[in-house]
Amino acid sequence: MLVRFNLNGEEIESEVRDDERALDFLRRIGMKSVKEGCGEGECGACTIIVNGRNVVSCLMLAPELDGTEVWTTEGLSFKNELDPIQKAFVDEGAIQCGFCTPGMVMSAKALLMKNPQPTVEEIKKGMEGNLCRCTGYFKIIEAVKKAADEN
Amino acid sequence: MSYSFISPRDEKELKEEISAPGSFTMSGGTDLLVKIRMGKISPQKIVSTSKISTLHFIDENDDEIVIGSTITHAELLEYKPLREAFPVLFDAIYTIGSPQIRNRGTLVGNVMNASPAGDGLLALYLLDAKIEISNGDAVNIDEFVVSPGRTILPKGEYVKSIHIPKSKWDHHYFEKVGQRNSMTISIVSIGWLIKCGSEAIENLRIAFGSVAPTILRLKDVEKFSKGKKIDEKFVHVVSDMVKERVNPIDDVRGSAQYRKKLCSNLMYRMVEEGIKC
Repeated sequence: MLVRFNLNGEEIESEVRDDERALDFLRRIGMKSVKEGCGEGECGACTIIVNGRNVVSCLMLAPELDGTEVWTTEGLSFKNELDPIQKAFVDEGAIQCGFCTPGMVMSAKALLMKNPQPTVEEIKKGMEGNLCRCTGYFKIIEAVKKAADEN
Repeated sequence: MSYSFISPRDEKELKEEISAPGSFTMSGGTDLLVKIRMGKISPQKIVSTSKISTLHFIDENDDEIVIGSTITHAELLEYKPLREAFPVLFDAIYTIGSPQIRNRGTLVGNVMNASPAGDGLLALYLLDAKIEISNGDAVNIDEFVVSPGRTILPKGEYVKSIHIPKSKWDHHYFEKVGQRNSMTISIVSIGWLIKCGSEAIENLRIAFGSVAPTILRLKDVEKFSKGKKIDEKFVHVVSDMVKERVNPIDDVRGSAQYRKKLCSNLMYRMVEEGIKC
């Protein structure tokens, strides 16, 4: 099936298999920031933004991307300049092994697009679908807070 | 695991596609795609409802709210009048999955998944919701859901919408007991609605999740509660009634015995919550 959609600001046209997950397709075309963790929507490592909302790409089929606007972490930095959220994650030491980080960053991005000044409770609720096995939650929350403050 | 995928543009096309053998209707896919991955189902064709504009609506009048079948949990939570008109539904949906799941999953999908642990489903049982089927039938939620994963939806039909009648309550409560707050499937869930008369219960509805093959409304407890005053003595009696009526099983999340104890203990929340009537 042919899908046409906007990926990180660029129009894309590509053949996908009907039963291919959005996760596998995006990795296949080079979006390696999209990680497979649990593969069943529990961990959030494969989080991407579709039409302004964060979703898990392991529970979405590639054909469903047709006609959408998609953002992955690859699209956040501009001209070698990190997005304020990425910068805050670096500055606050909110990254340990880094596997969960792209998903965390995309959930933080979706949260701040909807709610630019979230409270700590709203940050926790907004990030509840992303697991970090290095248990860096405290610093992750600090990073999201910092990115919000600099908005 | 190999299937074809189609996303009909209108309801006529949808109906044609889903009548084929081996086809599965998908809205958000947050349950269906997990079931496929686990090998519980092997569809030949997945038919997505997501691009059908006539199924994407929230209508409201003086008597009811009507929720179209492709409305996601997130869209419902963002629908401003919901929290005031149906706080118990708001609270239940708020606890479903995670933002990523609520952004894709739909309330109708929650009904069709027919899980005894369905959070949105529990609220729909409390609110006496009706399911509108594409053949024109409207079926009470407790008759629509039959057993885990099974409903009375005839093959070749689909759910158009959920109708929830408006009703006024003085108190509402929803709680799920699980291992953590997010992404948890409840060990036991409970919800109630209470309308107070002059110093006594005028009307009470109570439902439990994860304690029977479907969500369980305890109608005899509801009947018993009419005219009673909420105090420790009352809760003590009701808590014993609940323990006798719930019918849980042992599974990975908890034992039947533990679940029974939880159900009866959760009744004491009525006192803890300071409900005076």
